[in-house]
Amino acid sequence: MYYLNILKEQIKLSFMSVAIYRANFVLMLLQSIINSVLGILCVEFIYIHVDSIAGWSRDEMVILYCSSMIVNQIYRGLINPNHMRFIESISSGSFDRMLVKPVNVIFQINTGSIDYSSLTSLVAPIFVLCVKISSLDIGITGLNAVLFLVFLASAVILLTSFMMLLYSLAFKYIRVYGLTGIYFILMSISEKPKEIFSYKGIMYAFVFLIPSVPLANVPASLLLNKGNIPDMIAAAVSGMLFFLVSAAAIKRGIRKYSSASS
Amino acid sequence: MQKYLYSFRMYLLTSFQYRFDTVLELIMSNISMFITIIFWILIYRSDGTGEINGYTIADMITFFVVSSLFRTFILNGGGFEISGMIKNGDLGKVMIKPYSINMFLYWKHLSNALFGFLKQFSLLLMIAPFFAQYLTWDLSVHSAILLVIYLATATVISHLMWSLLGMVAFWLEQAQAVMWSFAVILNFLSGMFMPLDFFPDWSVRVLELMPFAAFSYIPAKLYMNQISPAESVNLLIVYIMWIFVLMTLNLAVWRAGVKKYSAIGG
Repeated sequence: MYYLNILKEQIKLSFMSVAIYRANFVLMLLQSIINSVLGILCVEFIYIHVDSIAGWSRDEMVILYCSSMIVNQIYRGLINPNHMRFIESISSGSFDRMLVKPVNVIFQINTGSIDYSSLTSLVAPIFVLCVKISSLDIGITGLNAVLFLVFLASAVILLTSFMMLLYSLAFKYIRVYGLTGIYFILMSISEKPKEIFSYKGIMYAFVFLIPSVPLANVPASLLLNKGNIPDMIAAAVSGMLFFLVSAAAIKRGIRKYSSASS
Repeated sequence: MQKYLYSFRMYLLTSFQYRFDTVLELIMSNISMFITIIFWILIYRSDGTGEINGYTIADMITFFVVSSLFRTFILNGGGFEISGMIKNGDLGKVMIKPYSINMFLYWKHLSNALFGFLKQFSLLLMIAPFFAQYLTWDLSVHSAILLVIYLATATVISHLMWSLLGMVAFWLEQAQAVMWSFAVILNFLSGMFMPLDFFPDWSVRVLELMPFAAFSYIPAKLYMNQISPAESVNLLIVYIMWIFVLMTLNLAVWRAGVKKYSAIGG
């Protein structure tokens, strides 16, 4: 209840901030929607010239892309602003304030401000996803939909954990802004079919080392009745492993942390 | 002119100072290109015909590799800098100095672009032996000359475009959102994700006449000898006309913006 109340206050404060910079909110929303639409257009234009890519039809590929966009926008809306604040706080020394608060540090690292424009722009990929699902011939059962949502949530947790693990390096190297590039690479791989990796070994490296495959491929495959149990298990195990390792890395980092400027 | 060339030299030397950041950025940007190439290899493998829309797999790899090189000449920094100066009030200090802010920013960011080109070129030279057989090598002398003129034109067009967007900050407190929206559209329309001739047929000619095509799509086609000399000269004339249009717009927006500017915080 205590943490729920904190979350409620954070939502309220972020909303008040949006209310002040309304024009910026609208423009950021527009930018996110343009981003989604152009990405979908890219897929559509490629399929003018080919019928299928590694067994993925045009509609299936758009669903894969939209799944990746949904995970991306949820992360950007809920987590990314807080991760940015976290790495900034280590270099500026304001991380001390997080340590003295009577709230779990991992909770503080991942929550705080909310980017409502990224969250609102979820409408674009969700809308396209629904349109594409309805145009497909395959029957999607309730179980498919539930598994899709569960693995989408798991993908957000996995992405959050992986980025938190990377950003925990800030405890050692202080300035780690360059690592944000890995996030863009991760998302860029996630929106492509896992078949781009011809060797199984490489594919599993992109599940357990740089976890891009479970982000969109697994949920989209489950929704499209293309999923399989080994992939589901691998995605779940990868999610749990990264969560545990990242939490341990943060705890270890805190032990070594010796305030930057205060 | 000497003061602009001096700033060009100074910023070029500064670029060589942050070596770790340079290497990290270089690796990240090339991994993205590598992923795009792998994706296209998968598309060609799935298609099985060896040629899609007139492009062989070698053409496609060459397109992305040389595009990555040419895109370093897109000068977007000036716009962000102008927008920042307007927002924090620093523009006032710059306006009283005896130089043109636009020219100063152009030379400054040209030096950054040149540095970007050199590091990208060096990396490609290092890894070239591993993928040389997947590249097409069709650059003729007249194409090479045209290519240099095209890249010079692209630097001017991109600088003028981004400056224009940066000046939106005269009216909007936060111009960043407008600029990022533009960046997404620019990447799409300049052929960053796929050659423009993969777009629907009706749009290809229109897109080629737009200034975005001059950034990397037309130069890459020139490199691959996929565009005739006459056609490339005609397009060059169109892009030079775009420069005049953008210069006029820049001047008009600058004059209107300065009247509104109140140097908040400066």
